[in-house]
Amino acid sequence: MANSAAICTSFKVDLLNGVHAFGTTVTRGGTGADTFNGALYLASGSLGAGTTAYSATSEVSGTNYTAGGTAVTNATAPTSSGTTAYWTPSASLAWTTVTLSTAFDTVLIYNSTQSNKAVGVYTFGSQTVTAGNFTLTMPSNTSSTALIQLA
Amino acid sequence: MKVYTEKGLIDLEKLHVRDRVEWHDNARVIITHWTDESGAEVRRDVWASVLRGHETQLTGNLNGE
Repeated sequence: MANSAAICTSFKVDLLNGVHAFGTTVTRGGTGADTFNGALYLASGSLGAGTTAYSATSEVSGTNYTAGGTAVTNATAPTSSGTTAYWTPSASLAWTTVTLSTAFDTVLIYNSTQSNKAVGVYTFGSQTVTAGNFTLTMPSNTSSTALIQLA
Repeated sequence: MKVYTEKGLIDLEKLHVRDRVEWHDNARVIITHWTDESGAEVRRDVWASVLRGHETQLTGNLNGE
């Protein structure tokens, strides 16, 4: 057996669980998981890696859509497989009986508990919805497909 | 059975329903178009599936690489 340099897999899972803080951290109200939301954005928006927090700028608007989006179901704790830590929402994001007439193509997942800080931006092609449902199904929660993968 | 549309509730048998599948870089999208007897689209449902999330590489050694 020999030593091998690596970022520890347990550390990656800990990052997803908010265990380590190398800098000034936030004050937490408890030990429970944070609440995450998903908000939809127009295809004309400019969200990406530089997005730091939820903003209403470029967010979709329309019948039965509430600014800020909808809650992300988080019933499955982060885990790891091999050397990859990962997490995926445990249910689809759904908007029912909405009319979203201006083309949208993006969902922003953000942490509504921690000042609406951004988590990730995901695109799915330009869409509109008329008096119908928009359902965003999450990928399989595996080390190679999960919504967030720390490899 | 009646279906909710932008023109109110319409009998299902008076609607034509067509599904269309789109493939994007990281998503499969199924779009259901509902048209009435005049051919006007009165409802559109979208079911988008994110196929894969984002992977971030966390590596590190004493050389800072």
